[in-house]
Amino acid sequence: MLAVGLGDMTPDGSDGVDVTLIRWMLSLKPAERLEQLEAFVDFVHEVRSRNAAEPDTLDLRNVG
Amino acid sequence: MQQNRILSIFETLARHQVEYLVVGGVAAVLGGAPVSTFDLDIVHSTSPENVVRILTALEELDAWYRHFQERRLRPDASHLTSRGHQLLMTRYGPFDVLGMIGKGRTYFDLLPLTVEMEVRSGVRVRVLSLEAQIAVKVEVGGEKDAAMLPLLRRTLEESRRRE
Repeated sequence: MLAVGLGDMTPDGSDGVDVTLIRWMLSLKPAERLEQLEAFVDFVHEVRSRNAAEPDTLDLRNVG
Repeated sequence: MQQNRILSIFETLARHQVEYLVVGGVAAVLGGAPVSTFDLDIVHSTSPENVVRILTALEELDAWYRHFQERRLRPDASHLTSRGHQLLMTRYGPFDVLGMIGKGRTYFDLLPLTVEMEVRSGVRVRVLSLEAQIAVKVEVGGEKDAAMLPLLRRTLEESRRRE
């Protein structure tokens, strides 16, 4: 069984950069990297949009 | 809510044969750096022929200056011939069209420092290399640029290790 210590799961180096993420990104083709970025941006927009809409859905007549 | 579709901007620019290269966060992502960004930055050729092409593309993208939300001010040839930064909003999200970056580096200065990448079948873009991205950020020396340097340097190291 391969033992993995917590030390192995922290970002490499003193600069705090997570090399595992870099290796994952480099394993993708440029088009796939762009897809990842777009998926992330779409997700953030969707969440922001949902939360921005929330106050409109509140029915203040029932408050208090 | 506008959907951010960087690829759609690339396709529009390709359709109009605009001469440009990708810089900024999207260039970092395409180079393999795990960063996120909400806008696409390009440096374009300010030649008169290319300015006509990019204006047509910007019209199709329904581009207007983000600073003037109420007035919907649109870029014209004089803006795009300059070395200034045009910070635009389009139907596909924020899009920054830059006449230069760093200390006066134009499209023609940067062109030899790019790599060509395919972002969709039949759509190829020129992207500023990681080495050049680092050089420009060192040159600028701003806080935001300095913060990105460790990540870009590690990505470059890892990228070279894979070659």
